[in-house]
Amino acid sequence: MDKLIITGGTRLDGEVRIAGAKNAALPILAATLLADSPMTISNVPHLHDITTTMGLLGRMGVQLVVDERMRIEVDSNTITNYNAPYELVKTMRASILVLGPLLSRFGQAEVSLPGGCAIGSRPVNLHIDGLRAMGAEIQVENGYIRAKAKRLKGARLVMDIVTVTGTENLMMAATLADGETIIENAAREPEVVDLANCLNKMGAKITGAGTASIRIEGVEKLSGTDYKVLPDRIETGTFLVAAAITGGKIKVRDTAPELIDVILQKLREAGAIIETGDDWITLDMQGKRPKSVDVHTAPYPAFPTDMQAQFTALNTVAEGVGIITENVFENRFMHVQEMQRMGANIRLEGNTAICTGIEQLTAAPVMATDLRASASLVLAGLVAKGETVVDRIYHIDRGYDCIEEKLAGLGAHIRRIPD
Amino acid sequence: MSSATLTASNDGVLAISGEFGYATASDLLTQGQALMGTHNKELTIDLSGVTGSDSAGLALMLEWIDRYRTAGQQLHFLNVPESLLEIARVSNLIDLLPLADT
Repeated sequence: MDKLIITGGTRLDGEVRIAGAKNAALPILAATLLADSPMTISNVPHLHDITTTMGLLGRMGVQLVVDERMRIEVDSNTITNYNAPYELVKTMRASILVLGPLLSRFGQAEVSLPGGCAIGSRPVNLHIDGLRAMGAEIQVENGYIRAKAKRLKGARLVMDIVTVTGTENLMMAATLADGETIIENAAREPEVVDLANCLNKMGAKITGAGTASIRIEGVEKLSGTDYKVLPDRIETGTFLVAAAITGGKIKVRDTAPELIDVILQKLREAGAIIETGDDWITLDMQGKRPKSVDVHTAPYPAFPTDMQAQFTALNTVAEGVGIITENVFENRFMHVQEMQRMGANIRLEGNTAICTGIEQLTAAPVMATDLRASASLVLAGLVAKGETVVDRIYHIDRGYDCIEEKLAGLGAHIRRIPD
Repeated sequence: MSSATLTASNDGVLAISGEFGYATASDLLTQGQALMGTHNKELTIDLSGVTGSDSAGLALMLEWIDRYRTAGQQLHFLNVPESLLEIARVSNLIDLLPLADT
């Protein structure tokens, strides 16, 4: 397993380009199964989960080509089977996203149940219940979801809990259903909106994406289109926190400031001077130490759980006491113990981390159990005295496109050591 | 209609000209098959004449590596376009490509 070695103490300075959002690209790749003609997806990040998804589609017989501009051309008309096997699903929970499109367009799907998740339970029963309500016959046996339907029927689906992939799966399934589907208590994340925009460009009739109530009027067919994936708001936020924690000054390009209002607000509270344009954000800490901030995670448009660990890192070296409350996932403070090994003064009380900032962290070998925790340890390493070794960085590689190259481009002393 | 040709020279170099991707891969595979075994043990494929490429071109390179190795020939690629190398990097296939020194 590769490691990252970070020598702390450098203020970040410069410009960085943000990649497309993985959490939008994955459902959009799944949505290509719905199109009756080839389509092209651009601004797709260079991440392992993307290649896994391409592998999954390729195994089904879908034809995929990556062109010189790294756009992915997909033709699902060549599909030969409707199976998402365990060996792929276990490595990437998002594989479940093929269930709705396969069932809706081809009338059948066989998708392995995903395994456990390090940061908390993410049940798939809402996907299954929703599809059943639309008329699908579904058996869960031998670790597989086996689904059949002649043509799905529109239905009113009330989600027990807000689920992004559940909303996306059912929204995709409903596009080719007979009649109108309403998804109540739908996820409002920008990635859901991006998927809806893509589906509408393919010919779907979806309204209300971005609100808690999404209406989908089923159509007979969807066609291929060209679609550009929206920028990654969490990568954007992570680089801004990286600059803030080091007292630096950066410009983030090819992003969407309107997607991260709440993150920008917290960074302003931390003392950052922030300016925004159509597709860029500048952050300037003027060399100052950040101030502690309080954060309460909740579904969009509130503060994202995927930025919690990075702000915990910020609070470790900020002035004052910051309180982080995690309301979305249980068991998502695994990074705290590692930060404590770097000298951080953090006390955990249930789902709350109370952090008293210190002047400087001390480097230590650390490892993390999930993607954002890994990112937060890299940020901590940027301000630690000495050489921090971050182990198990396959987690970070799942969500950040070329993170060490981008941080090095901003002046960080960071390098990857292959195992 | 995209086209590409594979031209053999006397010094063990095969030169590709034209598109190197989805539209031409099948034709190039056939052309390469016809030329297999007509060269020395060391063979170089020069991509300097490539006008455009995609991941199907990369797939063809891997297929050639396999076929020529099976036939007992050592294959190298010369002047691979940067965009194609980038696709190989993203796909974690870059280490599989025998690149000739330029």
